[in-house]
Amino acid sequence: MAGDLDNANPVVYQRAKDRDILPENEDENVVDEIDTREVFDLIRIINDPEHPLSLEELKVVEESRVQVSDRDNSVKIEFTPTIPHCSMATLIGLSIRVKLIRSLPARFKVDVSITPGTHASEEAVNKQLADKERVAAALENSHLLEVVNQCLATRR
Amino acid sequence: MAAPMWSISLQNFVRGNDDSAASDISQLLLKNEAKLLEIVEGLGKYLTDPDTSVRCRGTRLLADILHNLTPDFLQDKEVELLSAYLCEKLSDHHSIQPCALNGLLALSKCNELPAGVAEKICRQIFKEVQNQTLAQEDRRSLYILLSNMLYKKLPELKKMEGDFVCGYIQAMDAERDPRNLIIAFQLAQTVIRNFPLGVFVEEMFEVTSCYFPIDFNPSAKDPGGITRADLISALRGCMTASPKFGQYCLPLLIEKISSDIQSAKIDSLETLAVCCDVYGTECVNEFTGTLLSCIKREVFSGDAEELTKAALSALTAIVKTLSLGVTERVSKTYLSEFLQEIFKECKRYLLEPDLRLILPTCRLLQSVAQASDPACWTVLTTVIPTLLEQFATHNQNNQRRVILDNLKGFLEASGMFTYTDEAPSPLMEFKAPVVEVLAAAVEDSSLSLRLSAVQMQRMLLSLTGVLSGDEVVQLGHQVVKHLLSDSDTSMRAECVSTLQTITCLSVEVMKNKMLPQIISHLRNEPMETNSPCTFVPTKEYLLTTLTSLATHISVVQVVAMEIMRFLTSPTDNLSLVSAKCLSALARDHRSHQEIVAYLYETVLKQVLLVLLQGADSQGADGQGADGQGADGQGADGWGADGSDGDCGGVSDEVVTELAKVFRYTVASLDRRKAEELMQTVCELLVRGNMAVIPRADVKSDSFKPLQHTSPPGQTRLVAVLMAVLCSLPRETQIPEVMTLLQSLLQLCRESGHSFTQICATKCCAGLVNKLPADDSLESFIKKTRDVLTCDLELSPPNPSREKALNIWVWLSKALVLRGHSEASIFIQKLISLLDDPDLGVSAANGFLTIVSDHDDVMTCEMSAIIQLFYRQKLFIQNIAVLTDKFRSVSKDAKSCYLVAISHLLRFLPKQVLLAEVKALMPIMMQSLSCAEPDLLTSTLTKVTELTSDAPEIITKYIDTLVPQLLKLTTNSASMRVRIAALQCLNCLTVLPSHVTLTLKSKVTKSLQSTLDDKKRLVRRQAVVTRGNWFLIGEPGK
Repeated sequence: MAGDLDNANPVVYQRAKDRDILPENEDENVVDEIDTREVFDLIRIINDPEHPLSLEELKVVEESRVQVSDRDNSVKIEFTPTIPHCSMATLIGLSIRVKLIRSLPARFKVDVSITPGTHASEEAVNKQLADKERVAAALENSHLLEVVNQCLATRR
Repeated sequence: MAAPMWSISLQNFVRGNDDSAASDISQLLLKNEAKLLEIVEGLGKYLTDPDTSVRCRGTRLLADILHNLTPDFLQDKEVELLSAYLCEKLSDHHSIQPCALNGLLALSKCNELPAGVAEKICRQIFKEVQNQTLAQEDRRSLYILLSNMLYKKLPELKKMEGDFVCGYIQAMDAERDPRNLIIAFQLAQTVIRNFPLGVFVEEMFEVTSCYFPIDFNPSAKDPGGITRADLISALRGCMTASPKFGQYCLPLLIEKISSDIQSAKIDSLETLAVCCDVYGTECVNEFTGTLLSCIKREVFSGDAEELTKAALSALTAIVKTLSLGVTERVSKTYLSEFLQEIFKECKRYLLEPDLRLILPTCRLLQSVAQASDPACWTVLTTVIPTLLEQFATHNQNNQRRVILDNLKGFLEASGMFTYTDEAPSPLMEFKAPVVEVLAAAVEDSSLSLRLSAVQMQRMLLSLTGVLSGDEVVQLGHQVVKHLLSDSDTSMRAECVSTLQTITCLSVEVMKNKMLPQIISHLRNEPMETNSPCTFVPTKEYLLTTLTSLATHISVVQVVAMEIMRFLTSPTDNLSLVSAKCLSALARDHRSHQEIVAYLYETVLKQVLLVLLQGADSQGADGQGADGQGADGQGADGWGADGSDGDCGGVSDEVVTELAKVFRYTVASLDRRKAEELMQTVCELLVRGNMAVIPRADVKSDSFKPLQHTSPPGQTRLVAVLMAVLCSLPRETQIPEVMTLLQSLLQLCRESGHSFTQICATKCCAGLVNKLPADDSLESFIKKTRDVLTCDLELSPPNPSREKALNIWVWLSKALVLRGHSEASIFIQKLISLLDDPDLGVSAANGFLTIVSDHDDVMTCEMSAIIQLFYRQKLFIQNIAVLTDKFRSVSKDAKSCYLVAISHLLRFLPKQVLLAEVKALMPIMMQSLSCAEPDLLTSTLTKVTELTSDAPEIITKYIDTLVPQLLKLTTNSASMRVRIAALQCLNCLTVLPSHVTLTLKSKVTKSLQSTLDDKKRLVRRQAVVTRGNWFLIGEPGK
């Protein structure tokens, strides 16, 4: 089985600690903004399509590559495939997109792209991910949807 | 002579009319009313009948009769005759064979088998019976027969040697029923262990190993209840029963390890781990090359953790076997050759610059090192320098941490063996560089590297004999330095446990070298540092740290004195912290007799003194009477009205903490000392006699803590009285206890200081709970009931009513817990108060007080009388009344009933709840439309629990439940309610999808707005819930 994988033996990075719950988070009257860490927490637990590891553990997503502005309703995410010719790049991007569609308020404009210079067919993938209709069409494909759902399922 | 009665039933049986004959006749035999000889003679004509079916019935009857007899009934002669006869019958018609076999089985149960009978039976069976042509049950009889024989007559059967082995092999060959196989495998083990297998070694191995690996999935309704694991262990027993099997077994295992089926691989590896020891060094050595490559493949592919673990323990077993008899660390043996072969490849992986395979390689080598001392020595002397070298060449802290974590495993392996001066621990050689590397790593900027390093330091300390005394001290100083300066809490916690390890190792080092360092920090003013991000230990931190370091009596002595100093220090304002430390000390070492004795003898007296001084100096504390806090829901509200500005720093909170010290100590003291302490405390607090505390320079004439007119500084000391009296062993005699109860009752009715009032109430209840049930207690209860009823019937609004209710609730708790007959009267009154416009809410919350545990009064540790299942009883006795009244009362009062019911439900075990759930569901649904946040959260948690326990009931309500929950997720003002509602919605996704699918779009749409909730914690749950609702009915769920 090991032969079928693009990257059979990936380097595993450590997970960040869970976010501390501050007293103001429990105060009814304080408004908590949607911030970088919150969006990062949404996507870091997404499972990798190939390994029993999360995107964070493979350093595909990093907090520093997430930009969030609650006021301007914008979220920008760059992800880094583990190797430059990773065939799963589109699928990973799609999973991130779907996760954010399901988890963020509709007012946000979400932009998912590959970290510049980290993938062979960067432009093509970015174009695919930015095209709403192609994303919608991809999710009509039940096989693809199944894989995406598996990536998004919480490990119990 | 007329034909006896039994001959008729005999005839009936043989004709197939009546199967009861066997038990009737055997009863006659057992009662000695008939002779066996007569019966056999009577049977004679049927047994020789030309019709096979008649002969068959006859034999069957004989067998059945024999089964019903007791094992000591038959005489030797009879056994001999019957066995000879039944053996003959084996060669009769094939349909008679099973019956004859069954008869022999009955004979095999006899206590005494005459010499020669067993051998004869076995020979005849092996000759005549084609076992595998019989039905499953008859084959089973045969196996049981054989095992009975082997059990009773092993020496006799052993003389049959090869004949028995050969016969058995033929008998079990091609058996296919798991129920029989379990017995057959056990029989095979007995045969292999006790008979010389001679030429049949291979056959014997084949006949059992052909079932390997076991591929059997028990059906859910398997009558025998045999599991795959049972078969595996029985078969494994056969394969490891003889060392002669090695040459056949190891190739088989190698073949199965190389297969594609994971369960087969794991089974083979586990079998390998067990059998190496049996097969011996020579045999295992022949196959090491192939085995190693198989194991390596599993470890390096890293597919499934279970598989990797099995492979690693198999490797350990192989190395253990090869190490047998190896005493020298350096010598030319099978072991050294094998180790060289392992190193050939592994060394390369260890040296790889990108560290890709370092984890599996190290795990492999660690499992080798765990096998034996020589193996450990060889591995460690090779690996540790390499790892240290790698550590030096890599400077990324992520990689360094990986190296350290791997190094840790080797250190751990070295701890598995004992060492002498001649053969010291292999670590000795590398001690200095390892210590040095750790010292550097512990200073690193990366937290994970620091954590790994300090954990390894702890491991080094725990390896006996590795570090010298000086080195321990040096390491200790490093740890203390980080304890006092590291910015991360988890790192500091690691330091604490490392220092605790030092305490175990040498108390002297801890006490004389480490403690003074920390204490000196405590005494000095905190130093100003320039960089704002570094951690500066506060005195509070130092005190709590010292408390957690105190794990040995001589450390406790030093630490407790230090805490006492701060408890009384007027300048530091640390009295609450010190009081908390003191109570933590008492709590954590309850089982440590020396420490308890020290607290009792030295600390408690000083604490009393502090309390008295507090009582004296705190003259006119504002009489902060507030009826709100009087519902007695626990200690939470106590500090609220505590006075912060009082002199001596003894606030109500401090009193609470110090009372805990008394509580923990009294509960763990022996009886005599506990009684002594009680006498002192009673003398002081009940009678106001200051003389019992030396050096108490308080004016004694005005010290009357139980008088409600005394200042609160004195009356609140009732907290200490409660702590002591309510924790005493049950039989302890308290002097003048009834008078004491009266004054406590008066104090709680009259006192305007709510802290005093709550403590007095609890003390009173605690005593009522466990005093012996005599007339004086009964009359106190009755009198109190009357007094309180009067108070409750005063015209509202009146603060006395609220107070009386509080006392009522606590007394109800005391009585319910001990299962007192008055309890139901108290509870009925409480229920009737639910209608009361002023007291309804408090009465409803009273039910929570009754069913919840309070750690300051009436617990098991405090030897309270607590009836088993009192919550269930309370629920069952009152739920009908509550639900009836709930239906009949006006809308405004309903909510109090709902609250009361939800409190009763809160701690109810699942089984009781499930029995009542049908009746309760409508009530719970109604409480979801209330606005009370506490009620809502508790109901929501119940519904969530029920979803997994009684899904069919929740399913019935789902169409009303979901909209209600959705409404709560957005409308409720309380974030706790919103989160609970979301959790409940999330739980609903486990219901079958045909139930939830129709609601999916509604839920996901409605939750869209919850994703924008202003609270992050709500959003977090909304994301999870919405995500799971999206997955309903989707592929890939």
